[in-house]
Amino acid sequence: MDMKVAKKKLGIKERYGHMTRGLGWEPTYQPADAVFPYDKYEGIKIHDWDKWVDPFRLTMDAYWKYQGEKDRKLYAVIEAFAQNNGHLNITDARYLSAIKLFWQGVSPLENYVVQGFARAGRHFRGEASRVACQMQAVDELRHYQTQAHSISNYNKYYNGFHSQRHMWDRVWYLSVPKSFGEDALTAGPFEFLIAISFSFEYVLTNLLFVPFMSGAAYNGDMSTVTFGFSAQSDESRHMTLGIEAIKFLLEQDPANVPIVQGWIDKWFWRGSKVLALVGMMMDYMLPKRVMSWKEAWEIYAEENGGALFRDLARYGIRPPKGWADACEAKDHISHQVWLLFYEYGGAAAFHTWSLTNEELDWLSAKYPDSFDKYYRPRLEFLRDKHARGERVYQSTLPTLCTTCQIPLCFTEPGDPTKISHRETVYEDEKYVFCSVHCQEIFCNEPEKFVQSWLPVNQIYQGNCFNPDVDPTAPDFDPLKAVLEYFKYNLGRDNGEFEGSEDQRNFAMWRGQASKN
Amino acid sequence: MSKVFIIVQANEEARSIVEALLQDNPHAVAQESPAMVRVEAEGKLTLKRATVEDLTGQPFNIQQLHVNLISISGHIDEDDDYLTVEWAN
Amino acid sequence: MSVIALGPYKFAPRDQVKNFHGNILVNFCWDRHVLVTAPFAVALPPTMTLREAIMARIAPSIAFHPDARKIDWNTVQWEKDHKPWQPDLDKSLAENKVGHKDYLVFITPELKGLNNTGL
Repeated sequence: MDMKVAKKKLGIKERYGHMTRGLGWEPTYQPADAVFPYDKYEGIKIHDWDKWVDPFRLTMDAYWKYQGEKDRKLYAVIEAFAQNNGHLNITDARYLSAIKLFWQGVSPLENYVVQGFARAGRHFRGEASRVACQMQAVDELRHYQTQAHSISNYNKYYNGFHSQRHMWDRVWYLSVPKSFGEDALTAGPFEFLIAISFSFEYVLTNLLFVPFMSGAAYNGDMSTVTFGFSAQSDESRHMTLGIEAIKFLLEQDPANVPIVQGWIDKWFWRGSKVLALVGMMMDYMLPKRVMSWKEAWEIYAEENGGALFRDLARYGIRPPKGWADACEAKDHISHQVWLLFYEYGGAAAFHTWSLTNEELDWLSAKYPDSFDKYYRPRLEFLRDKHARGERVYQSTLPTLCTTCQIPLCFTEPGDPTKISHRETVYEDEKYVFCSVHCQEIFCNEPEKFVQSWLPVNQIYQGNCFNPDVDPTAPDFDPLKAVLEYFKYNLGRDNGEFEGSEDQRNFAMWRGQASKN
Repeated sequence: MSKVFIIVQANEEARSIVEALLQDNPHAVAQESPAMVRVEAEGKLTLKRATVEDLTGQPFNIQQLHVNLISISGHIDEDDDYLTVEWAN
Repeated sequence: MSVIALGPYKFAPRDQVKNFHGNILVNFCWDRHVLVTAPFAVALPPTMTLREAIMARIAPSIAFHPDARKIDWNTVQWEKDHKPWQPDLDKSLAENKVGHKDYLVFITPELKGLNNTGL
């Protein structure tokens, strides 16, 4: 080490200074406000854009270098996975339901975030913030692409991975992440930044990418764990920018504080609802489990998020309004969402199933305050019915929350047998919500949410059938017509795992892997 | 005081990062999970370039951390010779 | 409050009753029977009686619940708009003043759910 050549290269801080400062100019053909029309109307006041600093001080040259290295590592794994029938090393084909849901519902969200950051990367006035947003847009595109490449291996062998782009715009449960993403994309650039960089990336994505991806490793899914951790290394940079962005906004002007607080309240709650899907993936879909949703919530939301909000208190920021209710829900949401998908399993493009006693015991141990009383009896009842040949498939459509678009499967805080619902009448139209927080989000921006494209309501309006369908025909089956409109391969993509084609093929191929 | 953490992939390159963190931060604890290692500590964690270089006998650029980093919490201060994460409370 | 926007921001609600081909959308929730995971949204002609609506759309959808066959619909208690409500089952939805997107809760206090715990 003492042989090092005298420093002629620039240090990180100097290089960052050169690569992010003094790159802009004062426009003369047009006023600056015409060139940057979107960075003032939200009411955020920025006095000095140069105060924006990326603490990692990543510059484009270093960015390409390390991203290239990450991709080389990732693609070596993807190739090895493809060449060596890696799909047969997973614990069980049931596990793939989690990956189907990830591919159907999370990957397209990455694409939305590309668009949002590309836009922010154009419209912020400060050069350093534009550079950071552009890098993040490229990162998110990389995430979508690496997910497509990794998961395409599963699409060769298993059902439910096809038609992702088609399903995203139509399928009922995918409207949950889709409407979340579109709400963020149609906000101003500062709200987008708080929504995605701060509320989602900083406070919540650890829950998605850390314990869930560790779970993928535990279940032998080399491909997913590799793209997951490769993406998460970008996310840790995004999280750092999220916290930096919020500090920047709060330090620029005290008038920014209440605006930012409102966005934190909104987007923490919206994010926590979307992540209910991840709770179900962790607690129910992984044959081998690393930690429960509740434990993950305690470490990454309560402990880490708690530290964050204690830190931000000096700016006058308090924890989000829905914080206590979201924490209370950690005992319930994964079970409530799984039961919802189990009962509506005929309408989901992934499989659901009955848990073994061993799995039920694991959940009993992890959820001592809720599972045995409220969820185990329901799961056992449904399992018994299935064993008697009466698998429950609900076919009557559920009531959806106007804001988060999740069926009203959640219960009142502190009252786990009372379905939570709220109603608001706005300009003579009634709107239904799953919670007081979703109701409040609506009431703050009613004109935005009166446009909600609620799949159930759209089905009843006749907007979810293929054009050649005749709803007046005597043998018209509306549910079947809707699932065909979704492009489901009926009986293969959906329904019970037990007896499914995925289950049979996996068992057969795995058998072939050990003998001729 | 709040906890900070650095999570890295469980692989050969990151092993020296974990070792350096544990060596330079006696209050830090490493927790292993499938495919990852989480190093957490009350208040503050510092990764020093020189320690990693001593452990591996190779030059190390602090930004190489990005290749194997999974997650991180706290405010970050990074320079050529160190990276620190810290909460201000 | 309203949406902060650069220009006028006004859109027609997507779920107006005129889009439902003569039907109204009605939500039904069975109180404290969460084995039925979510309330139902059904599109119904407003001329249909409440009893017909229940028998055609709701009773079959909850039939898998062991309490379902014990329901005496004539003694069921109702809530609408978060307040007690006394409909006449044999009158039409319109006559009962059931409106588009109303949320009806039916309560069966003597039926305690799975394991008598409201499931």
